[in-house]
Amino acid sequence: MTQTSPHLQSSLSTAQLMRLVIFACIPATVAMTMLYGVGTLINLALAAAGAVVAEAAILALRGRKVRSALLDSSALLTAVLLALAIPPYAAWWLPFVGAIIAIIFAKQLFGGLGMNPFNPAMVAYVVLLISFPLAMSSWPEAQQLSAPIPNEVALAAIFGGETIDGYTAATPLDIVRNLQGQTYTEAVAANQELAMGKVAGYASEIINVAFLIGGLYLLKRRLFSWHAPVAMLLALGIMSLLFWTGDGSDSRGSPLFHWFSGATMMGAFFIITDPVSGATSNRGRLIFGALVGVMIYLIRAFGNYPDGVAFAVLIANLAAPFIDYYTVPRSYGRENATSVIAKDSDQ
Amino acid sequence: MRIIHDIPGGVFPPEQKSLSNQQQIDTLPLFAEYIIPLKQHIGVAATPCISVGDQVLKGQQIGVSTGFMSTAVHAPTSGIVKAIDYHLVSHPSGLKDVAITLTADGQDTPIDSNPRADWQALGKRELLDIIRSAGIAGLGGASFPTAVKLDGQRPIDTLIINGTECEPYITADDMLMREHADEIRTGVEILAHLLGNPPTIVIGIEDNKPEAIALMKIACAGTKIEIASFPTKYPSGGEKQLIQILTAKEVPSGDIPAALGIVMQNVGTARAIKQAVVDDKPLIERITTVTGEGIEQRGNFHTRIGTKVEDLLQHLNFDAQNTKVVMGGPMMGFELPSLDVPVVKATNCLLIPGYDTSSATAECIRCGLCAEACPAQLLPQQLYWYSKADDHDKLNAYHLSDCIECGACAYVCPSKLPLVQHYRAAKASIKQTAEDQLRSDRARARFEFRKQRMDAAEAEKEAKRLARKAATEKAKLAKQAAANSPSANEKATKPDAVADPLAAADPLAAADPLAAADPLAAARAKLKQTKAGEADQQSERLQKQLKSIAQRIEFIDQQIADTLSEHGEEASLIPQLQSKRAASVLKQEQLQAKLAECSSTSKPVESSGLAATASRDASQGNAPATATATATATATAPESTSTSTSAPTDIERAENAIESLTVARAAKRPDDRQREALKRIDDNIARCQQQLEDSSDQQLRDKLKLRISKLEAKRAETQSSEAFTPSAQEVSTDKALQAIERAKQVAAAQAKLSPEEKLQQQYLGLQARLEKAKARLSKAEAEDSEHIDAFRTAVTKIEVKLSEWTRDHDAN
Repeated sequence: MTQTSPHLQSSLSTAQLMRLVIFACIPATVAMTMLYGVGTLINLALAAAGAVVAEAAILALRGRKVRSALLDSSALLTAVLLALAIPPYAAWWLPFVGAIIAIIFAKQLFGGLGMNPFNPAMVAYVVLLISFPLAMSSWPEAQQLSAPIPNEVALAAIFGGETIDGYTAATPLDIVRNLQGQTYTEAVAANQELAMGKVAGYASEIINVAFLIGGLYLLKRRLFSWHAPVAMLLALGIMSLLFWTGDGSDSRGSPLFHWFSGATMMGAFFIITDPVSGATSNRGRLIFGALVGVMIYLIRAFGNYPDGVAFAVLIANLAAPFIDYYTVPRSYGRENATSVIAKDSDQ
Repeated sequence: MRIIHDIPGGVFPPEQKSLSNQQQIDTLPLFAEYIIPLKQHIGVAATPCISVGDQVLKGQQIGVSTGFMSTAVHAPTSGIVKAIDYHLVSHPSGLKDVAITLTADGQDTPIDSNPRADWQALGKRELLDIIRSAGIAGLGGASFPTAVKLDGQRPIDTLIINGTECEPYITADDMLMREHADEIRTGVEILAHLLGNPPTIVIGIEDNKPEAIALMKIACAGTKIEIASFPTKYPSGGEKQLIQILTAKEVPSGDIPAALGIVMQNVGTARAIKQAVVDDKPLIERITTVTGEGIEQRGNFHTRIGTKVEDLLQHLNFDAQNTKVVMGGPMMGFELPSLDVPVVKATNCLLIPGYDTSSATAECIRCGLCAEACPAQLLPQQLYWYSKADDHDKLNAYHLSDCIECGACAYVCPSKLPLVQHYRAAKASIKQTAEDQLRSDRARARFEFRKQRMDAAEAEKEAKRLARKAATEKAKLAKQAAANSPSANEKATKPDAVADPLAAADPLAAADPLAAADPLAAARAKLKQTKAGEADQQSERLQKQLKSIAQRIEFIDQQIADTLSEHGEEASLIPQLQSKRAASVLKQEQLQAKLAECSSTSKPVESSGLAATASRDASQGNAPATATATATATATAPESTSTSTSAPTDIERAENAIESLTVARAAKRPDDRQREALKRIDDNIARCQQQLEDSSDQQLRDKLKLRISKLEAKRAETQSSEAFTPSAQEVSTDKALQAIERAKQVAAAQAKLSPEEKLQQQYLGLQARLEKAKARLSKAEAEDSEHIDAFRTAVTKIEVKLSEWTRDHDAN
C-alpha cells in the first residue's frame, strides 16, 4: 500500500519515550540506594523480572508479537515505578508478584499498552498494600541515620521470610498523622528522621528531590505537559495550607512537608503524567491533577493510610473519562468547546 | 509593523530548504510529449475544445471552463493532439482521468497575444474572465479555481498573499519571490484592484526566507503592500493558520475566509494573474522544486504543465527505479504510484526522500503529543480512537471536519501511527454515509410522494367507478321506464322477441324483461363515459402534470438551499440547479396556459352540444322529449345525422350531449326533468337571442333566428307535454326506486342486526336457497331438462354448505 503523508516523522518513538522515563528514575534510584542500600536494586530486579515474564507470557497467549512489544519497555517502566514504591528488603515475592499483578490484571487484561484505565503500578501497589499492609509499610530507616542493615539480615528478610523489624522506623507521614498529643515541634524533635530533615524528614526530602529532578528533566524534554503536576502540587499545597495550624498538635503538616514527603513528587511527575490513564486535554489535566492533589491530602490527613498517592491516582483515573467528556478543547474556528456535551444531551 | 500572533500547536521538522534554493530557477528542454489533464483543479473538469489530430499552438486553449466551478487548460507548447483519453494522473490512488496528450512539434510556436498595459481600466468581470480563461487555479497546492475564489459576494477588507511556504524542502515560492518579486507585486495590485482595493494588503513570509523578504520589501516599497514575516513553524502556511498569525482571527468552522472579509492567494497565483492579465499569457508553466536527499541534481525549474514526471527526472539524470517519489511536500504530499503522470498546476514539488519513511507502528499510548501539535486544537488521539471504531457521531463531536490534514500529529506520534490516513478514511466514510443518507432520504421522499399520488389516483378511479356504476344503474332505470312507457313499448316488443330464445335457454333470464336491453344501456354509458370524460381527463392530466412540476420546482429549490448551506455560494452545482429550475418554471407556465385553454374549450363543447340536442329535439317535433330511449336511438341512427350539423366531431359532441342529458334526466324525477328541460330551453333561447343581438353576419342571424323559433316550438311542446308525462313511467320508476329502497332497508336492517340474528338470517337464507334449488331441480326433473345435472350439483353444494355452516356454528 502506498504510504500517505506525512513522509517525515520525528525521531521520538514510544520505546524511546518509555526509556526516557526510566532514565529519569535514575536520580531517585540512586538516592534510595544511598539511603537504604541494595534493597531498592533488588526490588527493581525482581519487579522487572516479574513484569517481563508476565508481559511475555500474556502476549504469547494473546498471539501478539512478543519481541517488539517487550522492546517498547513499557512493562519495564511499570516495574521500575512499582519497585521504587515498595519498601526495600521486602520479601522477594512482593515486588515480583506485584509486577505480575500490574502487568496482567491492570494492563494486559484491559487490552495491553494504551488500553488500561488505571495506572498499572498503582493498581499493584494498592493490591499489595491491602493484602500485606505490614510488609508494605515496613520502611527501613536511612542508613545515614542508623546502622546499615547487615547482609545476612537483608537476605533473610528478602528470601527467608524474616522481617527487618529492628531496622524499620515510622515514616514522617505516620508521625505527623498521629501526633499523639505532641506538638509538631515536639514530634520533630523526638524523631531523628524529621529532626535531621529540613522540612519533611531526611530520607523523604532526598527521595522527593530526586524524583523532582527526574521529573523536571522529563518536562524539559516535553514528554508531558506541566498541567497535571503543577495542578496536583498546587492543590496539595492549598489543601495543606487550609488545614495547617502551624505548630499545634492537630497540625497536619505544612505545604512544604506534604510536597516533600511520601510519594508526592513521584506521583506528580511519574504517575499522574501517565498519558494512558490520565486526562486528555490540558484543561482536563489541570482538573485531573488538582483532583489527585486534593485526594492525596484528604487521605493523608483524614484517612487510614499513611500515604494517599496510590489511592488518589486510582480515584482520579476513574474520573478521567468523565473529565475528558467535559473538557474537550475549543478547536479552531469554533465558538465554544461544548459540542460533545451538547450533542449528547440533544439526543 | 504588523503584530504577529502565534498559532497553537505546530511542529518543527528539519527545514531542508537549502537543498534546493542555492541556484537560480532553471529551465527545462522541450520534451516530446505532454499530458494535460482536463481536471487540474477543484471542481468540474474542463471541456476539450480541440480534436485528435488538431495542430495547436503554445498557449492555445485546449479545454474550456465548464461552468462556474471550473477553469480552462492550455497547450504548453505547439504540436499535434495525439489523444484525448484516460491517462494516469497525479493522484495517490493511481487514478485515471481524461487528459489531452500533446505531441510537441519542437517549434514551440506561441499563439498571438495582446498584452494589456492598461489593466487598471478593466472591470472586475473582465478581469475574472481573463483569469478564468487563463486557467488559473490556486498554485499553493489546493488548486481552487482562482476566479471562483475572487468572485465572492461578501465585502473584502484584507488581501493576504501567502508566501509562507511552511512545508520543509519546498522552495518554489521562495525562489519565485527572489526572482520575480516585481511580477508578484503587479499581480497583487491587480488582485487588489479586482477586489475593490481592500485597505489591508499583506504578504506573509516565514522568517526562514530572508532573501525573499528583503527582495519583496524592495519590490513593494512605495505601495501600501505590507510584508510580514513570522517565526518558522509548520503549518503556518495553512490558509486558516496564516490568517490567525496575521490577524488573530479564526475562520469560522465550515466557512471560508471571506466570512472575515479576507481573501488569500498564493504568491505563485499572484504572478500567474499578472502574466495572464498584463502579458496575456495563460497558465502553462509553474515553478516546481525537485529536491530530496535521494536525488543529486536538485533545484527549481520552470516546468510546463503537462511535463511527465518521468521526463523531468530523466532529464536530471535520475534513475527512478524502485524509488519513492513524492508529489508535494513531505508533510502533505503523496507518493506517486507511477512516474508516468504529468506535472499539474498544483505540483509545487517533487520530493525524492532518499530515506526509509516506513516505520513500524505501535499502539497509541494516548501520550497527547499529537494534541499539542495540532494547529486546529483537535484531540487527534480521540479522533484516532473513534476513526478506528468508525464512530461518526463521536468524530463529528470531536470536529473531525476541522482537521486540515497537515500531518503535524502523525509527525510527532511516537507510535508512528498513520493518523492522517485514518482521518482521511474516516472523512471519506462520513461523506459516504452522508451521501447514502441523502440518497435514501430522497428515495423515501420520492416513494412517499409516489404513494400519495397513487393513492389519490386510486381514490379518483374508485370515485369514477362508483359514479359510472350509479350512472349505469340510473340509465337502466330510465330504460325500464322507457320500456314501460306506451310509445316505447312498441319498440320494446322487438327486444322481447329476441330475448325469447334466450329465455328458453335460461328460465331466470326470461323472468327479466330488461336483460336484452341491458347491453345497450351499458354501451351507452360507456360511450358517454369515454366521450364526456375526455375533456375532463385532459384537464385532469394537465393538473396532475402541473402538480408534479410544482413539486419538482420545490425539490430543486430545496436542493439549491442544501447545496448553498453545504458548499456556500461557490458550489458548482448551483448554476446547473438554477437552469433546471428555470426550465421547470417554463414548463409550469406552458402547462398552465394549456390548462386554461383546455377548460375554456371544454365549455363551448358542452354548450354547443346542448344547442345541438335542443335543436334536434325541436326538429323532431312530435317525438316525445322524455322518451329518451327513442331519442338516443334516433341520434345514433344514420338519418339523424342529416338533421345535425355535418361535421363528424359535431355528431360526436351531440351524442355526447345526448348521453349526458339522458343520464342527467334519468337521474331526475319526471317533473324535475321537465322543469329543467324548460329552463334549459329558456337558457338556449336567451343565449341565441344574445348572439343574435351581437352578431352582424346576416347568414348567422338567419340561422340563429331559425334556432330561436325552433326552440320556442320545443318549449311549447315541453310545456304541453306536461300532461303527457305518463303516470305509468312514474309508477315504474317508483317501483324501481321502491326496490332500491327495499334493498337499502334490508341492508340497513341487516347492519342493525345482532350477531345471533345475523346468524339466524344466514341460516334462513341458506335454507331458502336450498328450497329454491330443490324446487328448481324437481321442476327440471319434471321437465326432463338437459340441465338436470347442474341443478343436482347446485342442490348438493347448498346442502354441503348448509351442513358445514350448521356444524361451524353449533360448535360455538
